[in-house]
Amino acid sequence: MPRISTSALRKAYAIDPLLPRLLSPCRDLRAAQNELRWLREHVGNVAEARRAQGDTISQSAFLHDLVKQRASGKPLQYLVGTEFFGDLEIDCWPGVLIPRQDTATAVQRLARLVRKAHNSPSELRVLDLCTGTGCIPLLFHHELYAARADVELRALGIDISEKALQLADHNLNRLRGDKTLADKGSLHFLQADVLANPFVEARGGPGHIAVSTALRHAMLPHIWDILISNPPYISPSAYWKTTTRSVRVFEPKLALVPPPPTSNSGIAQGDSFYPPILGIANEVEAKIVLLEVADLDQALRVARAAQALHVFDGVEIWREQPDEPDSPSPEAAGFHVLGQGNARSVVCWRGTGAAWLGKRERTSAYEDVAFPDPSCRAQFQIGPVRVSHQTEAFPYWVNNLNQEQLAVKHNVGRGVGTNAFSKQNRSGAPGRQGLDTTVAPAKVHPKVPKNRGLEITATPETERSEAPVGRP
Amino acid sequence: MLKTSWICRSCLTRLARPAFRGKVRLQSSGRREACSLQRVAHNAAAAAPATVPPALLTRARGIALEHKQLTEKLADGFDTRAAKRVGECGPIVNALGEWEKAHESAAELMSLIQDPSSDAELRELATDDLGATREQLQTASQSLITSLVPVHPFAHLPCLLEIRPGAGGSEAAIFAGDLLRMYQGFCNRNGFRATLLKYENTNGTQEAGVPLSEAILEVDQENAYGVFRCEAGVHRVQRVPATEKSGRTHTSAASVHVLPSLQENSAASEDFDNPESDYYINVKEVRLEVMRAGGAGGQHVNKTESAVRLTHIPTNIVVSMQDSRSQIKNKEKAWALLRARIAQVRREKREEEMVAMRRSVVGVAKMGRGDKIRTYNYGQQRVTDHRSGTTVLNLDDVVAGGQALEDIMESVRTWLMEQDVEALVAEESETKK
Repeated sequence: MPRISTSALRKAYAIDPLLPRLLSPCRDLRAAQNELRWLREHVGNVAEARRAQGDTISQSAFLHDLVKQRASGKPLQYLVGTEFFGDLEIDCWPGVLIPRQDTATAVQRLARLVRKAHNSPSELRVLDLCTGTGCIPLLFHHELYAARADVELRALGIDISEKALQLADHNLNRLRGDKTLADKGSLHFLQADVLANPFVEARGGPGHIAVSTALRHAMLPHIWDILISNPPYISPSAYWKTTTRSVRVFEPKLALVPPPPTSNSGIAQGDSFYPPILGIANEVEAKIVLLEVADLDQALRVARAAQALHVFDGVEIWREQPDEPDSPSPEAAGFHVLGQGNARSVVCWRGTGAAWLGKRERTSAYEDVAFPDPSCRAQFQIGPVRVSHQTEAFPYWVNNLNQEQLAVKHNVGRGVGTNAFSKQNRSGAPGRQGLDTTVAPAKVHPKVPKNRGLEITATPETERSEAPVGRP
Repeated sequence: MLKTSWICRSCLTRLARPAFRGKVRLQSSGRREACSLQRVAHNAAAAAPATVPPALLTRARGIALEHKQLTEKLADGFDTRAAKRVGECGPIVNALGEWEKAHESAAELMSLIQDPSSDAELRELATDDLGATREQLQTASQSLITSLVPVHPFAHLPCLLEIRPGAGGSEAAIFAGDLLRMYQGFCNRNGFRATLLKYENTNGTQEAGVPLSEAILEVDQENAYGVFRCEAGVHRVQRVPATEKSGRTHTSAASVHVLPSLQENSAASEDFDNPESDYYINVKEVRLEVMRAGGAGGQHVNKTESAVRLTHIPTNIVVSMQDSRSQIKNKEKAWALLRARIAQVRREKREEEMVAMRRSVVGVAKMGRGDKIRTYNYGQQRVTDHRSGTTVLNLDDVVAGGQALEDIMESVRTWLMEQDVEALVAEESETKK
């Protein structure tokens, strides 16, 4: 890092004696002036709050202390205690990753696309893995209810860190308390480990339970419409080379660098979160998946991995500013890269997810069921119902499910069966129709049970046998 | 006793029994006739020329005709645009009707008086009524003129006051700060809600009390633009500055820009999506630049930079905002400012075309860009507005934003309206040719 010139320091000092110290973390006079102003405002606010409690603080001493801490590289967000994420002001605590603007941009774009969709389900379920401050579900909730009131949002944030979950709950309560968030839908946070293997007995506390197991224990649904994740994605070498000092010294490494892989799977350490997340996306039948990545190289690796699953109808890459006109990207082999800046997110979709994103649904592998009477279709409102050919369009786990379908059929009425039906009820995703064909081939049940509440009545034992198992 | 030597009988009766004015019949006498003639002369002198310029009159008649046609059209079927136009014309047509009624009765009375063959009694009655009718005519023509002068299209909007020092170095910057306080005081006194959108002193910080380099005050009040419109221009100050050692008087200046503001509350009334609106901006024509961290971004850095810069490519207007830590808020503020600036540019352009023709006749300097509009002379404790020619000797009250300032602003508004009337007349006579 180049040394700050004496003239710049002198100029800063002439404006404010505190400014030269802020120049070292900010590197720029303008930015340093802004930060000093924000710190001053913060000191003023704190002093006012103290005064209301009948206490006084020395404002100048407090400001000096804050400037000293900032000069040592401590992020401004930890000093001031908040960071803006989209329209929301999210509280930040040391030990939990500070929300980034780029994440907000992507989440905001996704939420705005989804809230424009005409065929959104009555209950929209959003799962956020590695949620940290809880900023993603909170912003999604805020964005969705800013324009829609007819959708019931069920959002769940999952994180491994106890502290992050406390902060997420704190943020939720604060935003609900000051009426920034509409009092609709449900928002929850849950502790689980994304990397944990669900088939291995969890050892050592709730922080080591696999996501599917945690969902089951919490009696939460195991089908989710949208999966968002901003997992740790920095490789150890990039951690030492590209991260800024303030990030390295003051932000939790847990949220930045994935742990070293246990088995020799050939996956780079920086990428090690993505295969399990894509596996979970598959398991929860997510129709849209949004994953944050470090750069275009990683984006391409993740996009290829997603495509190799043969589950998604489409994969594209969003840059930091996805709404700007596309900048040319020659190295993006076969993937559409939107916007300008660094590649920041990988977006995958399937089934109705395509329509939610404003894309055209892919229909090549399916064919429409011929209704005897066109009015019949309108009457049942099932949308374009399709029957699959049970070919390569479906992943291995659907076929595994079909093996179990007999058991499901026998269990009708005992909760497990209703589960299968209610899954089918939720719009015409291919996986659902795959289920349907074995129960009653090439035929659609007009009377599908509407009651979703039964879904979680299954006991963990019976559900385990029914759950979409069969990961290789 | 009365001091006057004599009082004519008719006057005496009127004093005693004003209600029976019309019914009382008295013998005519030479003395009385002389008295009433005298009064006619007096009335004629007192009444300001109760005439409406013929050009304006033809314009009003044209509008009345259009109004009539539109009303007939509306009777057949509803049309939003026609209905809106009818609503706009309504006051003019009413005022014209009033004026014509008053004008007609006045003319009739005059012909009665001047007709030598008419009865003396009748003539006297006519003389009695003439005064009241003349008064009516005067108010009617006043309201007709007012209704004809177009209301400024943005007059109902809240406004942005931008204050910047002009020539005169730090003294000008100090005076700019004085002006800001003056307007803030004015807003406080009148109960306008004023928020400081941007405040920058010459050091580039936001500390108050240091010479000001730029301030943007938002007056969030209906009609604020109509009130402050007349403040746009160069304000000149003549005083011994605080920075002056040897007691010489300096002359410096500060400029005030007044822009109609479009914040959330008024946004509904103006249509951003309507390409005909002044506030319409094609999003594709605006380049948005946000400060992005160089290098990897994402989790690798935690930047606090939230500055936003908008560039309107066709006009090359640049707006940058970095006050808030929230990029979204900066973006909203920047957009509001950009819309206001662009609307002002467009409006000025349109006005320029219209004014070019008017100016040749009237010679009105364009508002907001011309020479100094007002002088604050501390030595003589006076404030002079160069447009209306008003001088107020209560400088302290003006600078505190008190009643004196309101008086000056009122005088300028009246002056503006007179200018508008002159311009209208000029425009009418131009089109007639």
